[in-house]
Amino acid sequence: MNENKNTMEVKSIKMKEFRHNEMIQKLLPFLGLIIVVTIFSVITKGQAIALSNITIVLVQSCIYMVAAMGVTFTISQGNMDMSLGGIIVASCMAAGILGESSPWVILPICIIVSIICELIVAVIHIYLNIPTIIGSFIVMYLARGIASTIMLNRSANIVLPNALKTLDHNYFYCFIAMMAIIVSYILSEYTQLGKINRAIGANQSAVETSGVPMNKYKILAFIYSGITLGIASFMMFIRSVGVTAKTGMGFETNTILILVIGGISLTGGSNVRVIKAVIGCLLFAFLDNALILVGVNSTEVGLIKGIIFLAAVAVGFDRKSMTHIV
Amino acid sequence: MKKKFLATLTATAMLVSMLAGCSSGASETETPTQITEKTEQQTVGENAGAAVEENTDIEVSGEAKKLDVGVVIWSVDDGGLGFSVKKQLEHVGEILNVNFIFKGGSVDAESQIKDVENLIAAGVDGILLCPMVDTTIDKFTSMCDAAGVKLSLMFRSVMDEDVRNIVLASESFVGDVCEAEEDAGADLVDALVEAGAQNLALMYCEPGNSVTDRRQAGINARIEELGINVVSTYTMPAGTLSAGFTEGANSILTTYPECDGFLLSFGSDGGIDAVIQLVLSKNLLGKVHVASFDTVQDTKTAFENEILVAETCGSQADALFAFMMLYNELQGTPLSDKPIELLSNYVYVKNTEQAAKYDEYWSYENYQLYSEEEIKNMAKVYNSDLTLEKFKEIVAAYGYEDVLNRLGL
Repeated sequence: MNENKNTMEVKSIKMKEFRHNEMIQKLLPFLGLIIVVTIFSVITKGQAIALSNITIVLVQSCIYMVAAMGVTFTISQGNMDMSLGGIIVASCMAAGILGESSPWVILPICIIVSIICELIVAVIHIYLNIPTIIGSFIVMYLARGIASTIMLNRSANIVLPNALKTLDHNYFYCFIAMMAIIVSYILSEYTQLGKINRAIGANQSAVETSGVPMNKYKILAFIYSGITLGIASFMMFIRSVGVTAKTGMGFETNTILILVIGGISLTGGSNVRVIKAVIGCLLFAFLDNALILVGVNSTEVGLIKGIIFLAAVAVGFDRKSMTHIV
Repeated sequence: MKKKFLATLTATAMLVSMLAGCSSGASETETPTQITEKTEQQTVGENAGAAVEENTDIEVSGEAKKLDVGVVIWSVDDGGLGFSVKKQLEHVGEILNVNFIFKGGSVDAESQIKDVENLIAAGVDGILLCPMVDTTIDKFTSMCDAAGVKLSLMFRSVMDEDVRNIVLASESFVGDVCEAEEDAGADLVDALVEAGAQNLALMYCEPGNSVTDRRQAGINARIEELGINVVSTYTMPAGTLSAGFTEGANSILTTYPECDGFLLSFGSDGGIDAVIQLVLSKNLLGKVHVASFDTVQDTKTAFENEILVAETCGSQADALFAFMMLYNELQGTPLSDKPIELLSNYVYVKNTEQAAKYDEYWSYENYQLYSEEEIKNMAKVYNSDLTLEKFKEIVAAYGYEDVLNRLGL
């Protein structure tokens, strides 16, 4: 009886420790953002948290935020999508060329092209059984290659139609980002799509054997990612006042980094939350901004960001979710 | 977990404290009254030819403000033009008490927009910018208008008529400096023809950049005039790295073995060097020649190998002139009450001797293109006799012979 009692006590302690650690894991991204903001606020004597600067940071994070909302759905399944930048340039290019006749088709074209590209990634993964990371690289190269070929053979750049220039405003970007966050949060927390996505990431075999139509939910996640990426492409097009072959360069790498520093595991699972992606975006944009406020030159920014990101990952990375891979 | 958290917190605090200590902040606003400095530099002008240490007293007028200026450029560590611009501006900054914040590495419009936004938030007085996409220039001027920050463009002029009208009407726009690109393109074609090339491969930049568009227009016009055969026109995105040039040139040489000349309309970040290296590795010395815009990292060796026949270089002075226009504006002594648009000269290097001199006198290791006195002469706050016309004369005079003459060589 004493042995049972001891065993129960040990289990209870371990449970408390587990919940304690889980809570710290959940709080770390918030705390990380607060710490970084506080430190830079002190160093810049409040310049970093001036209203005008906060506005700049928020606007700069909006495009990544919208794209990251969709990516959380695919990554919660454990599918790392590296096609984002290629899809952005392809959708902006297609929309820009077709938009020369009518600017109002630009947004729908951005979304349609993005969805098509994401569906190609999904098909490669689901029906050819190729890991998403490889399939998405293929799509990235294809999309960027097609876009570049078409643009490099044009006599002039693709520019934003004047009718859409009025959208180039802080309120527009922030409003779209806010809507994307709200919709994504509802879908992720209160619908089957979000729950099953995380279940797929946590234990795909269990989901498969339970009879849930896993492929359907995978495709839905990629479609949603395509929708948000299409909207992000539209925002990029407006903010950049046009498209070049270099549009969206490095977007996928930055997005993955944003998710990681937000505390999201790249293998997916239950710890993938929309709010973490939001925090990651804010932290990423804030660091970019704050390092310039401090006066750091671009040659040093990469080094410093790398160290900070390494620290964030070292503390916040969910190593337990990697054990089944090893 | 707690220990990890505390360790990270401490490490981050230490790292950021280190940042604050070793990087130059943008928030200093002290105004110097009198600064005396010892400088060890090769001097030009009056002490020409003498490699001596010299004490130079720099008297700063009490009216000269300390300034913070942001510089947005494709790269500051490319080992070529971007790097030269940084070295030059740092030298100027020491003389004129200007703190520069360099932002390099952005090759697309959205990244440059972010850079400009962040520099404005950092409180810079002015921005020196090389825009990668011309159609965004009016967006930059409207951002600077809203912030009350002055803007000067380097290596670019505004070609798009609609954008141009908006930019010239902007209060923040000080002016731009660029080179006579069409003429330079034609000169490079002539250099290749003189070297015996008859079947050219053109390595071009994507359309939409007014500088490369004009270079390419000049090249095309001259090729048409002379009736030269073009085996291939290979177009690449702006900011293509050396690997892209190697791939392109390799494809051309494989597909068109009759190709005997490459003409590059851009080649920063090691692009020209990549093509030269490829020609060398394929043992085509004397059979395939290269002419290019932008700067080769080892000009002398490229000419010694008889691969490079001509390059346009030395355009780092463009950035200096664009900055001096901005500097005068920021000091409250503008050169003009309207935007200033200037054409600067390239330095043409066409043989080994010129290449050796270019490598030595344009490298910023021991020499500066302009001495302290000459730089201060371009600033009204130190030289009240300076007018726009005199400044234009200085800009028009710049070139290979000009620099060597001023160095007393």
